[in-house]
Amino acid sequence: MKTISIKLLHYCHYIFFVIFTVIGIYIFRDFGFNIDETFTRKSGLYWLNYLADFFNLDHISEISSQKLNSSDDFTVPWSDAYGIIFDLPSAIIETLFSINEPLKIYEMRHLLTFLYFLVGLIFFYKILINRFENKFLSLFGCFLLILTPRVFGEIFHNNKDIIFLSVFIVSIYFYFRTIDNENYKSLILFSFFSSIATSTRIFGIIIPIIFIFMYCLSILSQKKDLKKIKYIIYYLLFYIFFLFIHWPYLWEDPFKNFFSYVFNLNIFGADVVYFFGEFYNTKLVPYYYLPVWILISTPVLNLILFFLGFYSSSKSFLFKLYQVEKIKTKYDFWNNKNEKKDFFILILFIAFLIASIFLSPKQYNGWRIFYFLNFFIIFYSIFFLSNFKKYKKLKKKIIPFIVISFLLITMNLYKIFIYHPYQSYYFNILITKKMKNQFEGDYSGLSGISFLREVAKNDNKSKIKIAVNSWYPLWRMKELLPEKDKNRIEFIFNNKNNANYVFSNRIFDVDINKSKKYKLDPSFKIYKRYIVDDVTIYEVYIKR
Amino acid sequence: MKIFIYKSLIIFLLIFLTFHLTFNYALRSVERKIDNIGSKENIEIFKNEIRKQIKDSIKKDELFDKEDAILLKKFLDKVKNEINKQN
Repeated sequence: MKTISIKLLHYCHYIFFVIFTVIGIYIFRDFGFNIDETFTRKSGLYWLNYLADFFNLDHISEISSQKLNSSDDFTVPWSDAYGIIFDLPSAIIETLFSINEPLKIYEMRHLLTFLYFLVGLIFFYKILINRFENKFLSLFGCFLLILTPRVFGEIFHNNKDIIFLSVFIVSIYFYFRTIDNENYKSLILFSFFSSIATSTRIFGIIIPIIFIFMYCLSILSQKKDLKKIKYIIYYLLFYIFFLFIHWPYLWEDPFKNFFSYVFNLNIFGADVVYFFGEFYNTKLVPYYYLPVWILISTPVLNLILFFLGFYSSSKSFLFKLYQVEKIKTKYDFWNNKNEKKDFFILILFIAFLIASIFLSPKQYNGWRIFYFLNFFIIFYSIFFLSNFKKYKKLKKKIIPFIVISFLLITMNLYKIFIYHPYQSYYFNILITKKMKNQFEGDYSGLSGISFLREVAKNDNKSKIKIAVNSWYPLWRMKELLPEKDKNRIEFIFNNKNNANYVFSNRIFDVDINKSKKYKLDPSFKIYKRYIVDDVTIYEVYIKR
Repeated sequence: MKIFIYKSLIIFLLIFLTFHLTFNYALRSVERKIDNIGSKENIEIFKNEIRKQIKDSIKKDELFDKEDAILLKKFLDKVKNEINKQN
């Protein structure tokens, strides 16, 4: 019995990942379809077609061209600038395996998004093991990450931000390996993944900047580190090389296209966001936009542990800065590899935070493009827990601490359960019930397909007329329905008064307090309001 | 030298944060207000208000008092004369 227990403990990380994979495969079909998916699918097919032409693969070119021509209908300007790390593989799978049924295509993409996240999660575990050398804490970190409802809700459909989170984690892992080994293999892998992070989200460019910054700091402490400049040069060369190789967008005119991408980020996303009950121009949101979102939609346990961990880490480095003249250690900010890793994470986090709050050209709905910050939140949480024994005062209160943590984790699990499959719209207990609807809800449009399925099931009419009273292309979801339902549903675009049902996910492209664009005829009354944990996901109106 | 660099970095960071949290914060608030006033929705509100005012005025028996009416008549006559001269 004892041997079995020891073996179980030894292999617990495998058990954890297998259980998580099984859960993911079991539930991935429950989630709705993200508003961005048509866009990213087209991006993948576009680049597949481009590459097939480039390498003279006529058959693939023909199929991808056919698929490309049938994928259109956008509410935002189309762009070929996005990185291909997810879009191209998904287009290849779709083409090679002849997946033609729209529902199957999107389900395949959801499964693939989940698998990308799974890889990211495994590397997250490896990062925590590498840094803290504690299997249980590392698993607990992974557990906290997947128990973050806004992350859990996105890992099945968000094929931009979750992909970036995963690639970002893998990049950080290879930076840690570079610190440990100081060999070319780790350095090349680090440059490879940081280049992918850059093409996935432009924020990834901060990784090489901080890498170089760290090197500059090490030279300031140790002049002999100047000899290591070859590592930096190799890193940059490989970084640029990989960026160019894996991103076909740069092939024709690398510099022009790269800068055009960086300076044209404003064209994507909504024009207004709903925040604290007011509509804001996305380029002019208040500076507290991101901090508020993080505070109200991250589990309280994560927040508490993060603040404690961040406080203790930054305090120790501030102390080093304060003592820099007095203490003569090899390096000013780190004495060993682990401290160097911590310092890198701290600088990276501060850089990301400053860039996100002050330099971001535009904020998207919610804070989904900054979900990679959850990496730092969990890293600092585990940092705090790994140093728990150092805090004498806290050590005495370990029992209440464990009880409170257990309660908060149970509450998180409960929330993930009740929000399912809308965990992406989770709010924590720091926000009142009334306030929850003063922020954006279903901005990914996950509810659309559920609504259509429900209407098709409950309404037997031969023609069901549906209009949309929000900034949401619900008509895209029609192709995901069975043939018989598809033929029954008709979308009304011009005169909403002729519709049997008017759907709204309460996401708007104008300030509805002033604009009449979404004003419904008074004869329409609320028919259904789908509410989860006091968050209104969608509303349906019918004529009375 | 390195102390100077560390201090410079910290001062730069503090200046950056101070600039954003004071001047740029205020500038952003003003920009937001201007953006708000010039927004499509607000222009529509202004248009509707003007329409409403005109409709209300039409309902009145007299738009101006006597003195304003004379003044306006004189002004319009003058404008008319000058236009005629040009032609």
